[in-house]
Amino acid sequence: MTTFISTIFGLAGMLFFFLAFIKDKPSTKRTYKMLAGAFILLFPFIMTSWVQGINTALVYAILAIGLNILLGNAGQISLGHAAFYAVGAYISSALVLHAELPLFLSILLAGIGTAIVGFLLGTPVLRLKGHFLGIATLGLHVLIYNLVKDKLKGVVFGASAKMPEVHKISYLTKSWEYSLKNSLSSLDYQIEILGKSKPFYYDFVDTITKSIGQITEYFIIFVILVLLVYMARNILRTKVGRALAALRDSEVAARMLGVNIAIFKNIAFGLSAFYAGIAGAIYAHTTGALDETSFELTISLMILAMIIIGGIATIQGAIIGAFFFQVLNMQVIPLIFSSGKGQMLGSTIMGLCVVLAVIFVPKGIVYMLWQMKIKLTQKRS
Amino acid sequence: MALLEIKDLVMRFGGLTAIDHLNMKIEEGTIVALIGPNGAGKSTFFNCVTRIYEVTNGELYFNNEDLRKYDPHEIIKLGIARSFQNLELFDNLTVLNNLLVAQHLKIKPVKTPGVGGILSFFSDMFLLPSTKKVEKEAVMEALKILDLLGLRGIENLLVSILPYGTRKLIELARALITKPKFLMLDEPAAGLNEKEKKELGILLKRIRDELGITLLVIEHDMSLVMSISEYIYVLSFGKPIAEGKPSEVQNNPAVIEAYLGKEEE
Ligand SMILES: Nc1ncnc2c1ncn2[C@@H]1O[C@H](COP(=O)(O)OP(=O)(O)O)[C@@H](O)[C@H]1O
Ligand SMILES: [Mg+2]
Repeated sequence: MTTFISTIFGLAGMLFFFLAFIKDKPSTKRTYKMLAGAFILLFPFIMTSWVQGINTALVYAILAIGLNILLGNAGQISLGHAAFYAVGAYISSALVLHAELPLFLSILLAGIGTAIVGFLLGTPVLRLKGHFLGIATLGLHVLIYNLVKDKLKGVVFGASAKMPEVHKISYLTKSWEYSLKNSLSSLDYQIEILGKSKPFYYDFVDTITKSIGQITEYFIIFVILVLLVYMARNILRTKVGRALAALRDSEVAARMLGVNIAIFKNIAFGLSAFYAGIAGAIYAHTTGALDETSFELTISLMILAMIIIGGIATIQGAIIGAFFFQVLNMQVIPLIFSSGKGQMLGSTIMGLCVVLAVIFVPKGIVYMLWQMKIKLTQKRS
Repeated sequence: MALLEIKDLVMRFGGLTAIDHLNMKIEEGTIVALIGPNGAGKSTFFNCVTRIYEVTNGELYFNNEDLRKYDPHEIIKLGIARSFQNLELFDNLTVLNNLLVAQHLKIKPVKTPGVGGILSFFSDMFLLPSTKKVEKEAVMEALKILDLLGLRGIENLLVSILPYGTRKLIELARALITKPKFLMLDEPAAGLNEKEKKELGILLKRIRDELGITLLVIEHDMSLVMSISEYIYVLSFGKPIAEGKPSEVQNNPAVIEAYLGKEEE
């Protein structure tokens, strides 16, 4: 029953997003936007088993937006983006553990710190072009991966490589969790000792109590994502964004118009690293386990695939790609296959998706939706 | 003092001498043509002046400034703008955005010396009033140039979908919006039909007369060259073979030979 409700709810949510995207008439669009907004607010309470997976999708969306600025907007490839993800995670961990800074300040500083690392590393790396740049960024990844493995892990965390509970985002609502637990045990007391009948909301309270940490994370990451999207959108629409697009489309013309392409390539790397750093910091304060396997090369490649499938050079494309992959990975594939096989088949299917996407929707899902929108508008007029 | 002065310019690519001891003086307010058969080194000359190529030898002065001290992205600050033989527009951007990129150096929401760049970036990031103001001014400026060239109405289209002739004009608009002193055009009439060529000739004269911009034009269309230019330089296989007023160059035997030689190929 509950899976039935949550499936219907989820499908309705997707429909709202789709309609809010496709509809042209402002009043209709606003209605669907509000429905989509309501879906976002209610989602963790109704589809509670999905929350953890979606939280990961939100983090991937941040990573993908960042990489898309570099690849889609500035036309520079990076195959080692997970390296910046690691840098952000370790800066933020070090700041809370050793400098005892507050959580959100650490996340912000991790973003800025990673941006600076990206900006500086951009100088030697970005002189290269095309596949040489790809290989250099791959090398960067190997370097940081090994640094984490051999040095940083021990220095930052001591023996454990675990983030203590108090520094996690979920700890923010720890007191709510306790009071929920209290009310639950008083309900238990009434049912078991006093023999009262089980109230209809019992299961709901039970689920929420178990997932309150994840729900907290969901809302916090969501707000961070919204802020980051807003910033990316403004940056890409103004001077810096235009300069990046210019050097992507014609380096020589960009230079003739006064764009210092060396600096703007660094800025692209820095901006992209900023997003990866924030994503890494969030990862550190949610998942908590921070050994080198969290920053495998496959993450870099997956983010790349997300952008390609979602839609290159658009913010929506990055977000859609991240959600597409994560939903496929976390929910659809385990649904089809038994858990053990699912893992392995998962990456096969994702690889297949990339191949199919490149053949059939080479510009990504977002362009496909735009085309649909144009066709619908034409049909009406 | 000439606006552009080139002394003994040599440009070699490995064993190939693309420009062989070229001297040139361009006076302010003139329209000068640079002609010669394909592969003569004309486009290479533009790339030398704009610092895209590091010259092998020779001196380049613009407004008494030694051009060799500048990087390619600084050339625009001196007041030199150019177009390209094979269009170099920003294809995935709209016409308007192409013209906004051209105002890159002018668009500064915060002008504080030193930290202005960083403050401007934050102003842009949160779309503060300072950003909105300069962006709006830049858009107005772009629309003004489009009006001048009779291109109003296409500002929100992607340049890649526009016809060739229109794109050539947009590249011209993009150079003009930087308010240059000196404009170098690489085969502006190539690919245009007769009517468009005539209009281009009139437009180039207006650019000089009304905006006071000095022009150096590479062009193959002889009737256009003869009708607009006041002075002509002729290159052949990198060597300057003739220079002078149109009437002088037209009857120069070396020039006739260079062009006839080309036709025999
Ligand atoms: N970057 C380069 N590397 C090597 N050779 C070049 C380069 N640029 C131009 N050339 C050569 O220089 C010569 C002059 O070319 P170009 O200036 O394009 O001629 P034009 O514009 O007069 O037709 C040609 O032989 C061309 O192949
Ligand atoms: Mg040429």
